[in-house]
Amino acid sequence: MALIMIADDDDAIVSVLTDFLESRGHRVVSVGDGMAASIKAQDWKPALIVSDIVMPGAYGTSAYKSLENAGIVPKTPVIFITSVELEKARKVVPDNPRTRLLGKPVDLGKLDAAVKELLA
Amino acid sequence: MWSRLGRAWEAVSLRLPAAAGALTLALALTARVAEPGWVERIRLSAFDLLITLEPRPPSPDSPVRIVLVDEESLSRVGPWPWPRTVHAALLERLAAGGSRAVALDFVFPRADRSSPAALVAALPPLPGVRRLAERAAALPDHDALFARALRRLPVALGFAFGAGPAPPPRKAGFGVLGPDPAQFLPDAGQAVVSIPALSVAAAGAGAFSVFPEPDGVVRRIPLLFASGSGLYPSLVLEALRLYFGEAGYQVRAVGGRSKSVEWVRVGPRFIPTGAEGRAWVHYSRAPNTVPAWRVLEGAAAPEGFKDALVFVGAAATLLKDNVATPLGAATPGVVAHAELAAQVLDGRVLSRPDWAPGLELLYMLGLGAGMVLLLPRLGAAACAGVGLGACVIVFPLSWFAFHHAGWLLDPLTPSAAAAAVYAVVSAAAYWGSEAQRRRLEVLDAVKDELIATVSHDLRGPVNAMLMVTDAIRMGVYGPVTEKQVQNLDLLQASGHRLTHFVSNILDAAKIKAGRMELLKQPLKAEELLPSIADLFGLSARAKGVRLEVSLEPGLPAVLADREKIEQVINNLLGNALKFTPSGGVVTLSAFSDGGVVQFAVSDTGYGIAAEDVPKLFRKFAQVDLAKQRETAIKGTGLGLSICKEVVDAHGGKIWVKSEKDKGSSFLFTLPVATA
Repeated sequence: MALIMIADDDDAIVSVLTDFLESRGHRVVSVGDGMAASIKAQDWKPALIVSDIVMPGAYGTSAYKSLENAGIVPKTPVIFITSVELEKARKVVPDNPRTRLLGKPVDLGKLDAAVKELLA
Repeated sequence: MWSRLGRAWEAVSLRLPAAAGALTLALALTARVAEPGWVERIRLSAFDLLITLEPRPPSPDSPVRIVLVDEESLSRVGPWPWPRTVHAALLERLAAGGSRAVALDFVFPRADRSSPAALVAALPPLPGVRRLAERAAALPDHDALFARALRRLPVALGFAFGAGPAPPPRKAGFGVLGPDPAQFLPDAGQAVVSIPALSVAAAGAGAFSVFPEPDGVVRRIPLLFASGSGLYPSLVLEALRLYFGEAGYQVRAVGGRSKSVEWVRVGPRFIPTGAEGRAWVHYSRAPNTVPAWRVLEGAAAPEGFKDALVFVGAAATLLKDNVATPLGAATPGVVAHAELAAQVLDGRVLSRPDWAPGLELLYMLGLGAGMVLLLPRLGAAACAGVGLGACVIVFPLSWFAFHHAGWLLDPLTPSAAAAAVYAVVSAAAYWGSEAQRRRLEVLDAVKDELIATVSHDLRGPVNAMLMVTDAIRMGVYGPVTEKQVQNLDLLQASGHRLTHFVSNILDAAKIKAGRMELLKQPLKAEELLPSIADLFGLSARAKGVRLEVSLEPGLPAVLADREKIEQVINNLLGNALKFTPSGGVVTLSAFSDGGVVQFAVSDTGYGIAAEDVPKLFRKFAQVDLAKQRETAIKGTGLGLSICKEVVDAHGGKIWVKSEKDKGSSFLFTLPVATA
């Protein structure tokens, strides 16, 4: 199965997402802030990134921009997760077919479906 | 630390107006007691006002006449100084007319240089001059002629305090009641006096010196002077003595704390004086004057001087004896003396009662303290009314006292002090409330930030809990039983409720922070208003207020966020019910007005003062606290600012029409939804 990178500053969220994605047979690595996300994604070259938006260091969307410059995205699909209102978050999230946006609390069923779709 | 400072500051700003007002009042009282020149001028201008409003009425029966050496007299009779023979002729005329007494507002310090002997003595020693001198010596001396005229009737001759020898010998004695008044009077010093031949001949000698107030106006004339340890009468007093045919005066002085001269009695008249022995002059508009040339030429009817007290003095500008009075800029000095004499003879002398300063201070204290205490409770307008009401009572009262008793009372200084207190308290209150409002605005911004952060941080853990529950339920951590699934569902439902609740708080905070998002849709007033009215029906009935809905038929739909507009109407309706007393009516209405629909919430409540209307839609601007406190109504001061933000965000307009104690109408417009 695939290598998925999770970027979130909330340890509990990282933990539950890791458990869930591993239960679905994926390998999971994680980082706790936007800056680490933009660096580690270039090292680990994950098949998929699950990223929070509001994080210390750099926002998930900022990390996305630097990864875009490095040519990692949009080749690598990204699922943004956020507790910010979705209408608002939609304005800052890049609008392309390889990006998804899910609200927190993340519905694990929807996440599963999105992961499957983007890795297909 | 900061919060403690903040509370301390709040306490200070609450008490600041009263403290500033009390300080102003204390300063005003001190200034009134110490009375520096500028404060004295306020008081004196109050007296000037009274005298200007009501000058001494003309009294045809007054025995006082004034003979003036005016410009025309100088041009007809000859330049000044006149030979003493002219003065003698004048006195002869007055004596022939039957004058009872004469006061000469002149001093003759040197022998007449126009006497024949003096004229010849000035000639060079030419042949024939000796014979001329012998013949001149045989002619009568002018001063001797004048002295003879002075003996024809009682004449008070003037003298002036200033540089010179000692005052002339006194012609009258003083009977003193109480302590020696001389010790309470300023020492007038030396005097310029007439030559002995004349002073001996005159029946009286009185000083004509006057001391103008600091502003140059002569309001009071001294009756008594002290020089060395002796008392000397003024020209007025001496003239009155001769008029009454008296040999002396009585003076009443009081020692102790007041240390003052109370009155002077001459003949049957008591003249109240101020502490320094001065009497107030009540000037008239048209004093009874005659030019000297008319008397000399016999043009003035001699019977006009029958039994008169005649004052003779200079009026011509060249002779420099004009003084400023409350009624006019230049009045001959002799007129001021004569006016005082006329007042005494009329038996109506102006006075400043001993208790007047105390009464004025008391009034100042009362009105000033009233302003300090009432302003925060009654508000600026009502307090201005109280102040004006006090003036409306006190000004006519002081006029009444002046008119009927000749009392000089000063309503102006206390009123000016009260006005100063009013201005300071109002300014401090405004400054304090502005400072508090700004502080609350900052607090509001901090609170919005706090709510946003806290709700975000609250949602984080709840989100994690919900996701973990979800993961367990989906069997990520192994199989779960039916019972466990049920309880996990329960856990999730509670979690979602909590998230929803936090979202609502976040929304409210966002409205207040002006970061609002609207879900606009066509909305009909006829669907909206009745349902809101139903919601408030119960509380309106409980308060005894009638709630009415008035809708124009066939109103077009507006484009609006239903939830937000409901919030606006709820707010306005809540306010209307809150501020309408039992028995009132609150009307909820909507009608079309061009491209907009106008909504109105009208009440018959307390209304809003015009000066408060511009403050209404600002955050924390509470209006007329006194009224709110009185009726135990408390507001947060936030509601209307939210209403304005919501209506503004819809592209509408919100405003208020209100009249104090009549009621208010809050109106707002929303754009019509285009089909």
